[in-house]
Amino acid sequence: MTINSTINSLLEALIVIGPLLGSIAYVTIAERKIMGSMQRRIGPNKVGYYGLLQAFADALKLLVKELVLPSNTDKILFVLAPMISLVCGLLVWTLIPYGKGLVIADFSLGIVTILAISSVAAYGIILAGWASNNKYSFIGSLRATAQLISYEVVFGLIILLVIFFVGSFNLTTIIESQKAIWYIVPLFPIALMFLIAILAESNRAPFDLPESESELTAGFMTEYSAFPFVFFFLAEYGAIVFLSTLSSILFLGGYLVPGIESNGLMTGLSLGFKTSFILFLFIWIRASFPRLRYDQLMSSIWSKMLPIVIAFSILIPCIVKAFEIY
Amino acid sequence: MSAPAPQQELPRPGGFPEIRYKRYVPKIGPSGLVLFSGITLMCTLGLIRVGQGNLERRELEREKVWSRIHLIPMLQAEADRDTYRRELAAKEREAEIMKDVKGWKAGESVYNSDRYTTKSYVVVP
Repeated sequence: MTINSTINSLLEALIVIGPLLGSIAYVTIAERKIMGSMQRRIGPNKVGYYGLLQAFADALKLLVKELVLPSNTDKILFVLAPMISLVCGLLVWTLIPYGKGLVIADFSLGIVTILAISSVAAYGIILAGWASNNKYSFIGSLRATAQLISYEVVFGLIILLVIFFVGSFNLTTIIESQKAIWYIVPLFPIALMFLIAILAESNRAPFDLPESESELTAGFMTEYSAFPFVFFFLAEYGAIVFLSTLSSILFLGGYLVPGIESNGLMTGLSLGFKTSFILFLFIWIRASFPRLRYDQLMSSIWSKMLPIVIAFSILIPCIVKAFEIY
Repeated sequence: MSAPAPQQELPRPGGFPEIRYKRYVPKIGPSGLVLFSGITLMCTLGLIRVGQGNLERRELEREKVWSRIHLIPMLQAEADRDTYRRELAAKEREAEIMKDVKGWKAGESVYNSDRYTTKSYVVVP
C-alpha cells in the first residue's frame, strides 16, 4: 500500500517534471530561433535537424564543466541558493490543472499557495547575490529582489480581481467558471497589465535589469558555473513557462476548448497552445523593446500601474456587488 | 577719419522662420476615443456574460446541494436496513459460537441497562 503510493507519487512527479524540462529546453531554442528570424539571422542550425538539439548540447556542456567555488564565497549558501530557486520553480507545477481533475495537488487555496511559493523563490536570488561576495552579484540580487517585491503587489492585486469574479482560490474552479467567457474579455486592460507584471516577475527583457549584461556582467549569476548555473537557468525559464501557464489559466480559460466539452488530451493541448502563445509574446517583446532604466522601472510600477490596478480593484467588486453577480 | 560703426549680427528683416522641431509622423490606427470606447464596450459585454455565467453556476450549485439534501432520508434508510441485517447476523453468529455455554443469551446487551444503543459494525471490504 505505502510502497505503491510512493511509486505513484514519484511517477506523478516525473510525469510533470520530465515534459517541463523538455519544454524549458525547447523554449530556449524557440527564443533563439524566433529572435534570429526577427533580427534577420538564422539562429542555431548546426546541432541536430534545424538546430533542434542545441539545448541538449548546451546542457551537456554545462554539466560536464568544472564546478568553480570562488574562495571568498559563503560555500553553503552559495550552493543552497540555486537549489531554493529550482525547487520553488518546480514545486508550483504541482498546482497546475492540465484538465478537469488532472492535477497533482488540488488545493482549495491553490493560488495563494502559488503566491507563497513564488515569494520564497526570491530568497534564492538574494542568497545567491549575498553569498557570492561580489559587488555585481550583490547589486544584481538587490535589483532583482526589489523588482520582484514591487511587481508582486500588482501581480497579487490582479489575481485578487479574478478571484472577485470566481469566489474561489481553487485553480480548477477558476478555469471552470470561465466556461461562460474567458476573463481576458471583461478584464482586458488588467490582462495587459498582468502581462507586464509577469515580464517583470520573471526578470525578462525589457525588465532584465538584474542581469543587465552591460552593467553587471550577469547580475546575481556572475559567479556561477556548471551545475548551480544550470539550476538557475532551469529555474528562470521554468518561471517563464509557469507564469505563461498561469496567465493562460487566469485569462485565457486554461484547459478549456471554446465551444467543445473536452477532456483528456484535448485539454492538455489547449493549455499548451495558449501557453505557447504567451511564451511567443515574451520572446517578441524581448526582441522589440529596449531595456528600461531602473528609475523608470520603479516609477512605472509604483506611480502608474499600481494606481490603475487599485482603481480597478475598487471598481470591479463594486460592479460585482451592485449587480449581484458573484 | 572715424571708426566704422559696430555692427551687431541681427536676424534678417522679418525674422527667421519657425524651426520645425516637431515630428510629423502620420497618425495611423484608430483614434484614442475609438480605442477607449471599444475596450469599454468589450469589457461591459464581457462583464454581462460573466454575470450570466456566475448566476448559472450559482443555480447549478444550489441544485446539487438540494439534491443531496433530498437524498438524505433514502441514504439513512439504506444505512438502517444494513445495520439491522448485520445485527441479526451477529446474533446468529453469537448463538452458534456460545451454544455450549449454559445460560448464555445471544443478543443480550453488554450494558447493564435497557437503554437502546445504536449498533456499530466495522465493515472491512
